[in-house]
Amino acid sequence: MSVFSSIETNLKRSAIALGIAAAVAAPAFAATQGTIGATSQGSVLISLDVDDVLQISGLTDILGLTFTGADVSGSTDACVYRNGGLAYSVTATGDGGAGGTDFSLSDAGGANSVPYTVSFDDGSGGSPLTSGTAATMAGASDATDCNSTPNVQVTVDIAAADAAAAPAGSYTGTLTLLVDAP
Amino acid sequence: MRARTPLLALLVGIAGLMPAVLTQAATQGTTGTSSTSTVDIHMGIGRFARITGFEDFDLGEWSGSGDMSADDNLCVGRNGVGFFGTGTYRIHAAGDGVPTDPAAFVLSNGVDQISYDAYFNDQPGTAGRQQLTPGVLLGGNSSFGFRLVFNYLFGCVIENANLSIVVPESELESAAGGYAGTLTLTLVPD
Repeated sequence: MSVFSSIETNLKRSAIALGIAAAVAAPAFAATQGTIGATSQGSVLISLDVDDVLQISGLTDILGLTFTGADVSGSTDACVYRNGGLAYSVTATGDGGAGGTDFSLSDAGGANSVPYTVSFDDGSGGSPLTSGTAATMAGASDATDCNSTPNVQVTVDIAAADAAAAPAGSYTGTLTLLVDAP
Repeated sequence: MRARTPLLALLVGIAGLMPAVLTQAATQGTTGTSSTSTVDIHMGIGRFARITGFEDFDLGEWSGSGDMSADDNLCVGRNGVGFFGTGTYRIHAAGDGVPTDPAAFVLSNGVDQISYDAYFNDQPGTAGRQQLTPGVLLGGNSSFGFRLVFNYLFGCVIENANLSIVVPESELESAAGGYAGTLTLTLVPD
């Protein structure tokens, strides 16, 4: 594009823009344009919205639990991030029982199950959770990776009495954790 | 004749004491069938500039990952350059500032602030842009004369510069709410 055709194109654009501006209401710009002077100054308004963003990560499966007559316990560390490092809620849901939401482990056939309890430690001490019920926790990390240092711990406990009542076998279950803005 | 000598000496002495501002280059016409006078005319032209084309940066909503960025082409104009020459200029940038740096590039939600980076390019687009330092003049900018002249005379006619900003993900991670700030550019012709 030659110099003059470039100028012509821009002038045309300006004319079109003026036409459009005349046809519709002018948007409310906060930007200011420079005027002629020894120096010239203009400015722009910058705006952005950062809505709630949360993430729970770093969970590892709790495997290898073996009942030998005493209570059984297992845990996993995790990272909970919320922008701004604000408080959050956590909802834990099991996949056992008739409704498929109980904290319980089942054997392969599903005929037998063993209940468990869940506690969630946000750094201020463990809190027992009820399946499907949100619990508010203290401030999350404001770094998506928690700066490589987990900030929560999820613990499952199986009472010796419950394990003793179940037939011998292998029991499994899935625990789902949801973090949200409270 | 001898009597005039002290008078001439006095006149010469007075003339020597007169300030130079009274010196005139104008010549006066003499009596004749025609008469001609001349005057010298002097006018100083300073360096003037105009920067236009600013549009607000509405970055929208952060998705939860990645940087947020935006850019806008600007029109830089100045006088004092030939139509087919090249003109140079400097750019000063200032954000809303913080107590320790009154020109810092920051956005605020009313409680907290996050930082952003700003860049200037002496041509449209972001390729080859230079990072701005708050409160520090950025030199080394130039543009062709006809572009500068047109933009100086008529406003934003030929886009010949670019302003861009980047809000790093690391800043956004710790942010919550709606943020806003003002970035001001000052054009200083060389």
